[in-house]
Amino acid sequence: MTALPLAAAHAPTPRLLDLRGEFPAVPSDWAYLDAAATAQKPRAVIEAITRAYAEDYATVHRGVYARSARMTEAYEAARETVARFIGARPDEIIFVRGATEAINLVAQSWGAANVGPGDRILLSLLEHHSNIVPWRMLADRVGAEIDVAPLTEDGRIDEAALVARIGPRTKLVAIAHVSNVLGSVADVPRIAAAAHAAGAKLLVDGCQAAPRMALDMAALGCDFYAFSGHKLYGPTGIGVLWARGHLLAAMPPWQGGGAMIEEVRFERVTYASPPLRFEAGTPHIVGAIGLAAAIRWVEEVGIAAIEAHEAALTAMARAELEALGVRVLGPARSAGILSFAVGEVHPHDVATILDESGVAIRAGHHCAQPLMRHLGVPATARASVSAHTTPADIGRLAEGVKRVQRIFG
Amino acid sequence: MTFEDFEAEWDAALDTEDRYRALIAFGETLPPMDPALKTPATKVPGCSANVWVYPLAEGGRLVFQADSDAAITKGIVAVVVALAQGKRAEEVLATDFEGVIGRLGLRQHLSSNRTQGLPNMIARVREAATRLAA
Repeated sequence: MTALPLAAAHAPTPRLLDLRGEFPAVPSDWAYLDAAATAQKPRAVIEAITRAYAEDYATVHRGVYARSARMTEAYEAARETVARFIGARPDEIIFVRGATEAINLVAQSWGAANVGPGDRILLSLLEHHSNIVPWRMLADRVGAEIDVAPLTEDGRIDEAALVARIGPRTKLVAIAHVSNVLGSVADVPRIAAAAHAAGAKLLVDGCQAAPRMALDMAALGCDFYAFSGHKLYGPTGIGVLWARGHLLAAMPPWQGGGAMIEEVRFERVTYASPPLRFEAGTPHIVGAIGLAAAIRWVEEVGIAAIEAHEAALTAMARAELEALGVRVLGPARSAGILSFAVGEVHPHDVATILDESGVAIRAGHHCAQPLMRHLGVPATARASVSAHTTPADIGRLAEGVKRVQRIFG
Repeated sequence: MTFEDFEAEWDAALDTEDRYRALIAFGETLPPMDPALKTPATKVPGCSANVWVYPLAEGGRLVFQADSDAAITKGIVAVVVALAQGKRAEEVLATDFEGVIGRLGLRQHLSSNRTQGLPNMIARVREAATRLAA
């Protein structure tokens, strides 16, 4: 009797991207596997930033001269690019410093107006501190309570348990679309439906999802979505808050200053409509332009192609690590991110030795201390892939891990 | 293992893997640190792994307890402490920690610790000596 070949062995290998040449800061002998912390920048983004400062620079919204008008157009075109990228309207896009600021904005503006004593905010155990601390601060200020949804055995948000924890006093559910530690992907539409059925809103921290998967706000069904530009191949200091238009329209401003007003008298100020209501002061003009360039670059490569590329490399890394007897934490299918433990070796030692082998990974609590406590570890080693990662990078990771194993015998 | 033994082993190492083994082994020679002494006050800031240094003055000499939860970092703090262990304050203040560490080439192996962690470990030891000398 002949053994039947496994279907998987015959599955076509997805075509890997070959983009290393577009990343001037990533030499071919360096495996940069810390994209989940921050992405390296393609030349197109660096050039757009340089051009904006070197040729096109002026302020926006104010200058009565052609250069400023063009810069304003570029800034507002960046907003349109972001809107198109996530399937939203431009006037629902607020430029912020990053996802952390986006979440703080929602907590301080929407939260202060809509969450009161005895109300509840539901988070999950795998949240990044940026999606915990603003809610803890809000809860302490208004006398609200925080609930925490548990995880499944393999490190995904236990969605059934989360849905069961949504109660009549739950005003907001706030979860990560993709875990920054484990790469687990949440079923956002399912959670949105459950939150809305109970009259609660859903905020999604999309930091790790935006660089890795196609986003469509209508399909996700959430109410707020936050992400950072620097993880999406764009510059630091720029990020996005998307919120449903009717929510933004009802939200009070959170920072006062220039650009966000309609009329100012000492007795009374009337505020501009969103999005400008939430963009006090001169914005990060070049940041927005750089982010738009990053999004155009991602669109040209194709987000689906990046997702397939990352899935293939993540599977490769998982197989290589497991073959070495390394414990990989998190679900079998994770989005571009793997946390792992090399025996009892401290993740910091793993990262130190990998660094010397030309492999950059992250070791630490990844700003997710509650998750670390749940996993029963003080820290993990985390490798994360991106559009420029190659199979050779994964090979270097495996070689570096072997070196760790030899040293710690 | 004395610091001189470690130095000899480090210098004789054939490759970086052997150097790491020597450093880790030297860290393991640190006497166990009383867990009660591992407090925010004894924790060295700027290290991505946990590092604690607890100084004590005994008969005009400095005695240190130190530990880290990462083995390589523990080796590094063991080197720093070894250069000051059992010495008088003036001797510690006259010790060229950076020079010794530079000569060993330790910094190349410490990318994640060299910016803040290592200088802070040295600073902790010097602070203790300054207090004792005062």
